[in-house]
Amino acid sequence: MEIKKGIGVSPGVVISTAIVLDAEDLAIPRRHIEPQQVDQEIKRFQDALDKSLVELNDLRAAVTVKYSKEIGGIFDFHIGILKDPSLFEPVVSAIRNQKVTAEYAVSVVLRRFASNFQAMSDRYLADRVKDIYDIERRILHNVIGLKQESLGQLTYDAVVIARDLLPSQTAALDRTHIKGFATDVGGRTSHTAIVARALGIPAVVGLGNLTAEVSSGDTIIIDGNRGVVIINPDDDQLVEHREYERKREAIEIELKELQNLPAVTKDGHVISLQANIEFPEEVNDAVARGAAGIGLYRTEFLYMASASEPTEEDHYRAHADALKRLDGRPLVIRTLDLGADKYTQAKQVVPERNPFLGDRSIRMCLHNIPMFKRQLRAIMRATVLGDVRIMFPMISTLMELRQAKMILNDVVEELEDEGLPFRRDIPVGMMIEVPSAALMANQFAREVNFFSIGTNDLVQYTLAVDRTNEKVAGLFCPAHPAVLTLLRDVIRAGHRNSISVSVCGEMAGEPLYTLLLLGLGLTIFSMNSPDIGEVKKIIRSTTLEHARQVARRVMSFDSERQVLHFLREETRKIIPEVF
Amino acid sequence: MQFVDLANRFQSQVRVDTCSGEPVQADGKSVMQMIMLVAIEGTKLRITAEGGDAQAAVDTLAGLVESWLGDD
Repeated sequence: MEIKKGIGVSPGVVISTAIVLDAEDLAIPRRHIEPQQVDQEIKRFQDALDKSLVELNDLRAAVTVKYSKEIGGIFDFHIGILKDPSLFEPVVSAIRNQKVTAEYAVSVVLRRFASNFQAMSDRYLADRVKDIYDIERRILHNVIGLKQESLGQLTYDAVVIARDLLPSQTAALDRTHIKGFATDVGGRTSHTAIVARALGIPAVVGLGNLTAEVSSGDTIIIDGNRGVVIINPDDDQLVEHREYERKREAIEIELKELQNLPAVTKDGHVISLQANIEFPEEVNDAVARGAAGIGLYRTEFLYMASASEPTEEDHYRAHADALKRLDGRPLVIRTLDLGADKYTQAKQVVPERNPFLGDRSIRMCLHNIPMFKRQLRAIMRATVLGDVRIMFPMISTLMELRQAKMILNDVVEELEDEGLPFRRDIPVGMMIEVPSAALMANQFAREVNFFSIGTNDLVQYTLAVDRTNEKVAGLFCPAHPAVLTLLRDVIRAGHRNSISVSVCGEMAGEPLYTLLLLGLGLTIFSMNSPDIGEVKKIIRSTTLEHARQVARRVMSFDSERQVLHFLREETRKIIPEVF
Repeated sequence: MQFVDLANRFQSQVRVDTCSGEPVQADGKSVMQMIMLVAIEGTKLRITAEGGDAQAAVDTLAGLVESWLGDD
């Protein structure tokens, strides 16, 4: 039995059998062949290429159906490389001239590709190294006659243990049998985390050398709520977690019944519960779970899915899709928040020493005005299709906000000159996720229509903790009195200036904080849609008066320990089954 | 990717370089070589073709590149 602590990136608990994905490179020895074997080796290579192409075409088609055309497009690059004469010719000539095996020739040529990519100054291209490794694995498996361990056709339930999940692995996996993920590396916004949340299965990342300690067939508990993985649990733990799983199911059923009931306190205060999404397709699930709208629509997937920067039309189509699915409900579109940990530091020439404090998010947009304008044009054009709101992320000074709004004005004028239809009066808001913005909320509130507090970054910047760094992740705590003071002041500043305030960080979806946020006067909560039910249940079970008392008490504490302890006690009184 | 797909529809050999005076030429039918060319926005490209349908290849590919410029 072994307990490993990582970062929970998708909630839920599962007990299941492990499938460990072979992450280590296949060791390919340099083996020589006889001259008369040359043709046979070339044929083996050709067959493997053909087979890989068939697999990839199938995969692309399947993924396009299951997710979207953008994600299916990831494989265009793979297919392009497979068809590339720069791959075919050097491999054949290595087999012919150096008399080496097909697998060795493939490995050498693709390693050369990989190092070419790695040397690229463009971060986007440098990141494609992972795709090259993916391609290498696929061809080698086919050359050697090994079927790539197919997660698409499982006959039993399992959890996937890997160093990091490759895009092709996650896209192909069988949604009915995969019950959870646990990986050695990764963070909140890693590919694994995004896919797990989209599938609604628990995931824990950043577990160090988990793959070395687990063998396929081991029993594994993945606790995505607490960020814990237990390898070969003992009987007590099994009983405890089975019990927990069983309770969860009961709760799920109860929460389902809540779906169509309003989020209103016992004393009649209506709260708006909204959802955070990555892809337009997620709207349906969010609405089905009772979301009153989308409080945070991240637009980064457009940049992640294609090899080149998305065009204005790409943006527009995605927004139009989301709005259609929302059927009149509000959609808060966050402008590009790329940089730091997000997928790629697009167009970056020199790696930043400190990307979290660097050229990310709104800062990057203000340095790339043509790109920023493309996004804004697409958003403004979409305003005639539904209830669109724009939100600027990572604002740290008034000048930034004013600049961003000025550029938005330019875009409005351009659209007007071109005679394109749009709505002028849409709400423009900002995220509060930097302490400087929180401290100056009063000044900011006069220049925007709404605030949305991004607690993840606000906690990170206030406490100076990178929670993807396992050595200090324990210090990351939204209950820290310094963070709570900022939260309280931002909500107050919003109310005083009559603008709406929401929380769209993870804190909004954690039942532990619902009473507190309610008591601080928050009226809009935006969260991952699976969390809506529980938060709604708490809201419906309490009064605003009681929540205010809780908040007053919490604000009198001077340590996060006291805060957490008290909130746990109070929440347990309302929903004992969750804690 | 679109460029390479299109180039592959012609029989002629397609070469692309960046007019930078460097002797770097990419095979227009190779994703890998085209990527290594690292043509960022604003780079001048020269497309040459050799073979039976050379003229059509150059015209079509140049048209594609021009249509990208039109996007901005």
